[in-house]
Amino acid sequence: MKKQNRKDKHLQETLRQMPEVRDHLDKDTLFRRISSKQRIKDASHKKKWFAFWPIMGSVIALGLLFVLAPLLLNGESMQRAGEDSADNASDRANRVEESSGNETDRPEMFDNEKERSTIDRYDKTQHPLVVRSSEKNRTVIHGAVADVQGQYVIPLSFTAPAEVNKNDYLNELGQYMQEKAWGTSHYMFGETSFQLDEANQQVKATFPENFLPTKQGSSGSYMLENLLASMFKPYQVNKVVFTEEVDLGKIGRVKQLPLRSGKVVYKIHKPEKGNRTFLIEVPVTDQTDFSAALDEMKNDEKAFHVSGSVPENTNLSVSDNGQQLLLSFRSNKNVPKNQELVTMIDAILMTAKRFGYEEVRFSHAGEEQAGPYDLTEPLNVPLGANPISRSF
Amino acid sequence: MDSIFEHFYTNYHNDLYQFIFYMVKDRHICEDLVQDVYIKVMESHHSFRGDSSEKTWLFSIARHITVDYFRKQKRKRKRILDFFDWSEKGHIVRDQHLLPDEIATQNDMIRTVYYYLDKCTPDQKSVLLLRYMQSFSIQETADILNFSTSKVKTTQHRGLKQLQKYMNQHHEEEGGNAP
Repeated sequence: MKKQNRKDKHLQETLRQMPEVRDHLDKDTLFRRISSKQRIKDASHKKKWFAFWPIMGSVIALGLLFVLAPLLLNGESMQRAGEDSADNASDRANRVEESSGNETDRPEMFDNEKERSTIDRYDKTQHPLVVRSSEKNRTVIHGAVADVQGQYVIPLSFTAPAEVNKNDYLNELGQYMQEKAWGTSHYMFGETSFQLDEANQQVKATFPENFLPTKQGSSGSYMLENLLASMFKPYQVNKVVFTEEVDLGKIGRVKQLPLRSGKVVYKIHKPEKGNRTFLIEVPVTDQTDFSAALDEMKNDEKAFHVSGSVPENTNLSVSDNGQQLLLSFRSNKNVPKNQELVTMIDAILMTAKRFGYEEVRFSHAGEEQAGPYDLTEPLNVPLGANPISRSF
Repeated sequence: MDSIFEHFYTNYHNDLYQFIFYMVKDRHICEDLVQDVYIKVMESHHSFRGDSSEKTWLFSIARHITVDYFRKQKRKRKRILDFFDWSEKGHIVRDQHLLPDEIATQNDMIRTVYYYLDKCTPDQKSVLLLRYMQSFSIQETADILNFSTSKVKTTQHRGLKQLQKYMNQHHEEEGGNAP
């Protein structure tokens, strides 16, 4: 008995001494993930709520029909004899009215003048937000900076002749960064030497002495990982090998870092003290489908000077055919106009690229052309986001 | 950053993470459930009436979300293997997760307790974690689990007995080596 009591006490004591298992996620990252999850949850609730009314409406209409149909049929048979000819006459008159109504609508939908003016209203003075795939014989050298609050990655695209040695250009990126004018964080890799090895899907990084990504807070290592992923994932690089161990805060000191290809959506970022607008990468969970991604792209994040790239009332149905994403406007009344439409297409194409698609086909846009985009054809996903005009 | 999140994170995050981690024993699932707890806290904080302490309220949400996760898992398993009874045969399933470093470096007794905690029912495990690891009183544990105090005492007693039984069996069979 005494032995049993001793055993029980020992067990209880052991339970009290069970070690603390540390959470590897820092507070900022956790909050960002919670916000993203919450937004997706809200969007899916909203969708269910929207779906509820048409269903409810149909149920009520059927109910009313069921109750009223016998009454209507009885009444109709009593009156039919005398009123048939009058009804026919008024039906004919109604049909004429309807058809003339349609005729007045039709020219408006396919008005060439209107199309032309839409093209003219495309703001050619605004910085382009993507490097389109039509840029032949050019390759993109990818750079990335964080926004000034260190929340999100701003991808940057520098175009260079297709035959160049990318390493030469990658290691010169620092010279072309204009963080102050852009209103972004400082480029983290200005003094870093990269050795891209595309054959082995890796990049070797030599950081300057005293390189400490965590000096700007616990989210520094998270941002380092995201910046590297944004720069090297387009080359199918899966890991970064460091020549010296790097202190990544809670992750510890590491010699290499695997790069995750997490899903992101692209929204609009206009830095508070900057001279231009960027597409910014907002991470979403790997379970997010493109429909949920479009909902997320409608959300503003005012605290970070981020606005949605898809207007709130835009309603697109989503399907796909292999590598081609099919987006159909449910109503051409809510198709954004002019620059807003072009910006939305830029952001959708970049997002589609991160979801693994190669082409996007838009239908029922009511326009054949939006800025540089021919909407009658499938659009190729771009080569990169936020082209920096000073090309090599 | 949301002030409610900031407040709960600063005051209770470590305890919350411990509780959920020891319940599910998987970092990814734990992180996912912790996020769900914070979302629930931010959504329903306005309805918190202060009948119990804030920490008790937080843990009752954590417990609810964790049990919900187990239920979903059980339904999934049921679909795969219709005759499988989680409460009766749960102990047959071996722990597939790697030991976290914090446990792997501990002594034999701690590693063994960590392993055999899964032989307890979710209710027993919750009571043992809340009472011994989180140091909640009987009354607080009852509030969190929505049990009577006498049910907490019985569940605690049975949980300890169950754990002890497997520990004894393990020492007899394997000469005390941790699994």
